[in-house]
Parts: sequence; C-alpha cells; structure tokens
Amino acid sequence: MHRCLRTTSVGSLPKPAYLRKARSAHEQGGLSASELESLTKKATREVIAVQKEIGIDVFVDGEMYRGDMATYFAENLSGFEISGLVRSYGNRYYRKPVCTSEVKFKAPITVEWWKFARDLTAQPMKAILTGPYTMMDWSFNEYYGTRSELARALALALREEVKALIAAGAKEIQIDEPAISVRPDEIDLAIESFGRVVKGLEAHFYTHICYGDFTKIYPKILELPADQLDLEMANSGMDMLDLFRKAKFTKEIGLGVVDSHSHVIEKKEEIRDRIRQALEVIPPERVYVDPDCGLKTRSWDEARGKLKAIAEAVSELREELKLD
Amino acid sequence: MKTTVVGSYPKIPNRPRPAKYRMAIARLQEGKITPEELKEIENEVTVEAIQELVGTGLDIVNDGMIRWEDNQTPFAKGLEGFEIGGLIRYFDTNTYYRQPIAVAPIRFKQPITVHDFKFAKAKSTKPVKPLVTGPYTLARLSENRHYGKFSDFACDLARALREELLALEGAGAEMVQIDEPAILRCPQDAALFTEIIRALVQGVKCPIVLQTYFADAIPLWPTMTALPVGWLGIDLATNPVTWKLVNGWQGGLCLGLVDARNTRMEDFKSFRPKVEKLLSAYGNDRLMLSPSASLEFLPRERAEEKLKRMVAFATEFNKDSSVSNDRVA
Repeated sequence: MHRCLRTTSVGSLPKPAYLRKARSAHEQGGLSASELESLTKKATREVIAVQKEIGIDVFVDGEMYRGDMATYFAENLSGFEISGLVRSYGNRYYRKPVCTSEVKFKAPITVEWWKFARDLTAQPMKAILTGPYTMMDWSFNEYYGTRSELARALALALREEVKALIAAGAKEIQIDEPAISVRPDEIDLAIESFGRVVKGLEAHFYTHICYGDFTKIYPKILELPADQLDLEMANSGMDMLDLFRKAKFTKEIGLGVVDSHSHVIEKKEEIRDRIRQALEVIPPERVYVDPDCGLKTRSWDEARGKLKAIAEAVSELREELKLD
Repeated sequence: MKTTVVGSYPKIPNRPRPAKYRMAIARLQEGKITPEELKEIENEVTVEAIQELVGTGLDIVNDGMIRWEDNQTPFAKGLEGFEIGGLIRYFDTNTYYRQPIAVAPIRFKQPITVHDFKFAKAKSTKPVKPLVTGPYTLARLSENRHYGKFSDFACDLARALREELLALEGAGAEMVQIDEPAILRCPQDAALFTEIIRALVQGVKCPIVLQTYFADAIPLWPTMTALPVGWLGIDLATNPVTWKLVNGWQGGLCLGLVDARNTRMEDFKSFRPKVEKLLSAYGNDRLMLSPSASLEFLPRERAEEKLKRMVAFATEFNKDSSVSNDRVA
C-alpha cells in the first residue's frame, strides 16, 4: 500500500435502487430479513468492486446495512427506543433515538458486516461506528439527568463494540463525531467520552468531524485521542489550513477534497490544487485523501466519479512529487 | 395566565395518520403534481395544524408555519437583495437551513407573511400570532457579500422588516412575535441590537413579543428590558438557571418552560413554586406560558401532548389562583 496520500472514503456510499426498494419493502413487512440480507450483501460486493476498480487504498463497506448513523446504533443497544419522524431540513425526515433506560451493549453491531466486507478484498477495511458524543447529541434523553451522564454510558457501550471489532481483526477504526464542533463549550465532554471508548485499545483510530465551527475547537481538538482527524476541507474552501499555520496540526489528516453535497464532479486539477495546499502544512505521509463526508446522498455515477477523480488526482500528484 | 406557541409545528404526523405534506413535496419534485396543487395541500395541512393547536386548548396560536422550510428562507425570498445559498447548520441543532446571501441593498418589496396570516386568522377560532424573524438574527444567519459593515446590513434589514410589521398590524394582528435567538450568543452586540430593535418597532402599535431561545437570557437581560417591546420571551428549558431572571421588567413575560427539544415530559409540579413566585411579581396579565422554542424538533404527537399538558397546568393554576384571590377579597 502507498505510504503517502492514501485514498479512502468517509463511510457511506449510495444505496442502489434495488436495495432502497428492498429496505422499504422490508419495513412494510413485504420482504423477509434473509432476503434483505442477501440484497445488502450483493450491494456490499458491488461497493467493494468499485473501490477495487478505482484503486482506493483504504476501503469502506459503504454502510449498505444502515439507515441513519445514530439510529442504527441506538436500535442495536439496550436503552433506546426510536421516535416518530422529525425533520432535519427540506423534505428530509428521520427517526431520532430516544434514550428511555440504561444504555448497555448487547451484542456486536457492525462486526459481521465488517468481516463480510473484509473477506472480499486484500486491502485494509475500515470499521466505522458513531461516537458517544454524537450519539448523545442526536438522541432525545428521557432517562439520564444530564448530557454528560448519557455520553458516558454511550462511551462504555461503544467501547465494547470497538473491542469486538479489534478481536475480529479490525486495525483501522473510525469513530464518527460530526456533532463535536457544534457546541464548543462541550468540547471537554466530547474528548473525554471519546477517550473512554478507545483508552488502552490498539488500533489506528480515525474520527470524522463536519458541519460546525471548527475555529472554536481548534487547537483544543488535537487533544482528542485519535490518530487521524477526517475533515471537510473542500466545503469550507480549505480555510482550516490557516488555522494549522497558526497552531501546528499534529495528527494525520483525512483531507476532504470533494464536496459531498454537490452534483458536480470536481476536476482533477482542482483536487491536486487542494492537496498541494495541504502539503504546505502537513507532510504527505500524514495526509489521507477522501471526500468531505459520506457520499450516500449522491447518485452512484456521481459517487464513483468523485472517488475516481480523487484516485487519479492523487496518482498524478504522487508521480509528480515522487512520493511512494 | 395565557398559553401560546413560539414557532413552527411538526409538518407531518406519524402513522397511522398520513404524511400528506411530505408526500406532496415528493410528488412535486417528481413532477406528478403542479405548484398550484401543492398550495392546495399546504392550505389543507395548515388548517389541520391550526385545528390541532386550537384543540390543545392554547389561548393564542399560529399557523404552524407549515409552508416555511425554515425561519430564514421566507424572508430572504420575500425581501429584495438576497440570494439563497447552501445548507448550513441551524445553531446547535441537528437541523439545517439554506443560508441567505445578501448580494444587494436589502429592501422591502411587498408583504411576505400577511397573506398566510389572513388565511390563518380566518381559519382559527383563537387569536393568531404571526412570526417575523428579527433583523439581527437574520443578518447573523446570512452571508453578507454586499455591505461593508454588519451593522449597516442589520439596520437595513430592520427598516425593511418594519414594513412587514406595519403590514401585519394593518391586517389585524393583535400581537406579533419577533425571533431573535442569535443575540444571546453575541452579547457584545447589545448596543447595536438596541438600535436596530428600536428602528424595527418604531411606530408599530400592536404588542411585540421579542422571543429568544437556545441559551440563557440572563447576560442580555439588562439590554432586553430596556427595549420598547411589550413582551419578552425566554427559554427556560435549555438552562434552568434562567428561572432566576425576574426583576426590573415592566412588560409581559412569556415563559418557555416546556422543552421543545427533548421528548421527556416535564414535571409540571416542579414549575409550580417558580411560576407562583413570578406571578406575585408580574400578575396574571403579564405572564404567558409556552414551549421553549419551535416544536418542530419533536415528533408531532409528542409536541401535541406537551402542549395539552402545558394548557392543563395553566388551567389548574389559573383556577387555584382565582380561588385564592377570591378568598383574599
């Protein structure tokens, strides 16, 4: 595997139309769990094949088995019910987890899916879960007295999931915390909760952060015990690099170089330019290159186009800069 | 002591009730219905929301802002000088809005909310309180590509939105709510805020509720209580310390005691001594009860249930306090 400018994805990829249809049929009782599982596996195989074809370095399983990133984990832990629909924007609604009793780990949640995807390729396969702070912030809390108590309980439960992934052989583990930059006054709680999940465990830990005011949590966020911060750099015009010039960025960066919410496929030159800008501040062996965020809201052609543009831009740049 | 709501109501109910509005928008996007047909459904769903709000027993309602994508877009579209930008997070919530972009001088064109207000007024058996997003908050939540100074942007917005207030007043609004949550996060702008709120309400005669939420209002209290508005609305759920805020205000106080962002049912009994204390300082006519913010953060059924319980609390409270008043008399 390449040592510099490794390419990867943030996590989710678009679900093919047949899978979306199958999930909705299953929800309405018109399709059995085993039929849904076999279609989910089919979609996962396709996701792996696309990454192989494009030549991505660190693979993801595409999260074909998941609906919402918080609800999926809540459904599989003790202590949660799922609410009625609430709107996030426009015509998009989701079912929000409701914590109604003590949060506990029941059984591994993503491990079987991770193993299934891992067995389809020789490339490293990232395991991905949603972090305790985000799970807390994106749930209704009817049980615990405070936000920090709920975050603590979630951290202990999710730690069991991470242990199970490590026991199954996972070495690359991403714990998503997109909510971490939303309330700068809770950054200590977010860092402490993340620490409770990973303390003493051996893996290469990533976290993904997006959609918030990063200026208010930097450089404090460097205290988060993860090896890599995966950031949406394209959407914010790469302006975070100015922060890194003022206070040194000491971790690996997951450099988001394409906008996950735009239909337009970025030009390779544009991507190379963004990477070059980052290389002024962070050495190439600490730069991973990926989209800004999960690509699940894009069409398959757009998602493939964006990943391909990344892989080609990186490959040209490695050659140009003589990077291995 | 009256009861009211402070913002939008969940647009769709849960099963078995049909999600008419969501389906209609999806059908519009697929080209299966026309914009005119969507308007029909919007009206129908708005009437249902008004009926549901009236049905909870509230004294003052609104139309649930069913037609609004968010609190900013209708004003950005209705005023001159804005374009609509990309999605951005709305404060510290897990919801998003399209960010208005000021690209030219902001001017009032024609009434933005008056048509909807008149529609709601005709359909409601209870007084309707229209909502206008305040100039400070609208400016803070927008991107400014036109004005050299933020204060010029906010002042122009205040002048433009004043026309909207006058138009609502002319249409028979008995009370208008101005939402200014952003100021709680920027206490350093207190002087500018005072200036633009004065400009906004100049010559407006109907009572104004200046509504704040998502943070503790105590740091802004001296500024808020010096404003020429009839009512102040405060969020008591985000930070219970806000309950301490009682003194030095001669106007009405809207107590946002129902948590609009958590499904947990409130223990109304625990509010009783606090409300009693406020009642002795303010009197019945100068207190209202409400949720802490828009109820759209909750599933529809839970929002309705919370309103019903708040109304029951107010009813019981009013009954008890009238009994004790009689005894005193």
